[in-house]
Amino acid sequence: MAGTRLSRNKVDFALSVSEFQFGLIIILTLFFVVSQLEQPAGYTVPVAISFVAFALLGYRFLTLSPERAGSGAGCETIG
Amino acid sequence: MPWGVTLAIVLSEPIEGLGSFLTELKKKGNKLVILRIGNKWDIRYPGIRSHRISTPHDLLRVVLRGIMNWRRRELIPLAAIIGMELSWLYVLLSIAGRISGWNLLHFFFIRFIFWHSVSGASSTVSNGGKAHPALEHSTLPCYDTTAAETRPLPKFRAYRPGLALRHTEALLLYR
Repeated sequence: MAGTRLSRNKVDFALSVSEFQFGLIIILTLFFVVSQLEQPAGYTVPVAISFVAFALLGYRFLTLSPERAGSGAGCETIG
Repeated sequence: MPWGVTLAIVLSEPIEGLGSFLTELKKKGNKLVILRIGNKWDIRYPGIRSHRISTPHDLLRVVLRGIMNWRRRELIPLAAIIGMELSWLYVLLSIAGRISGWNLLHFFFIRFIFWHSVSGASSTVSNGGKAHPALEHSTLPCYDTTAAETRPLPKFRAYRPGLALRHTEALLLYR
């Protein structure tokens, strides 16, 4: 069923980063495959922009959530 | 059954002994939701939410309301993750569609995701299989359904929960 894997995971900062890293590898591989095809595709730039925009959107809302503030994930205080 | 699992029971008719079974599950700490299909019965159990499902849109409304109540705080980050996945899935389906000759983008993004609102044919089919003149030299994936070398679309049936569950009893487990 679609979305089952995501529904079983707790959405937190670590999951968002891992999904971004996994998606980045996949999307770069697919862009390389697209570049090797005879006819170039015109959707690579909008897809890349939307991918990064979604990543930043998730990052922004996860940094605002109290769960992440309590867990101490992400940046560390120096000094 | 692990802690925290929500049990949704979809019924077309009441089952004998259902009340004691649900009470036992409730005492064990399970979260229960009853989805009643059709108008044949109207039995309510104390402490257990129940929804009447008459049309597929009722099921969609109940699911959306449950998602909103369940993960209100995680909803936007979850949508962002799904958006990231759909981004690379779009590229993947486009490449697979080019190789196979099937319009997989149309099937996945319209027939699968927007199944509840779309029942007609694609724009390329509705105008006689000819692409719009503006798209003739476009690099966007465009498929001429009249071309001899193009394979026909695979016949997938749109998912209709109202029809599928009218006379059946199903047990859905989700978190």
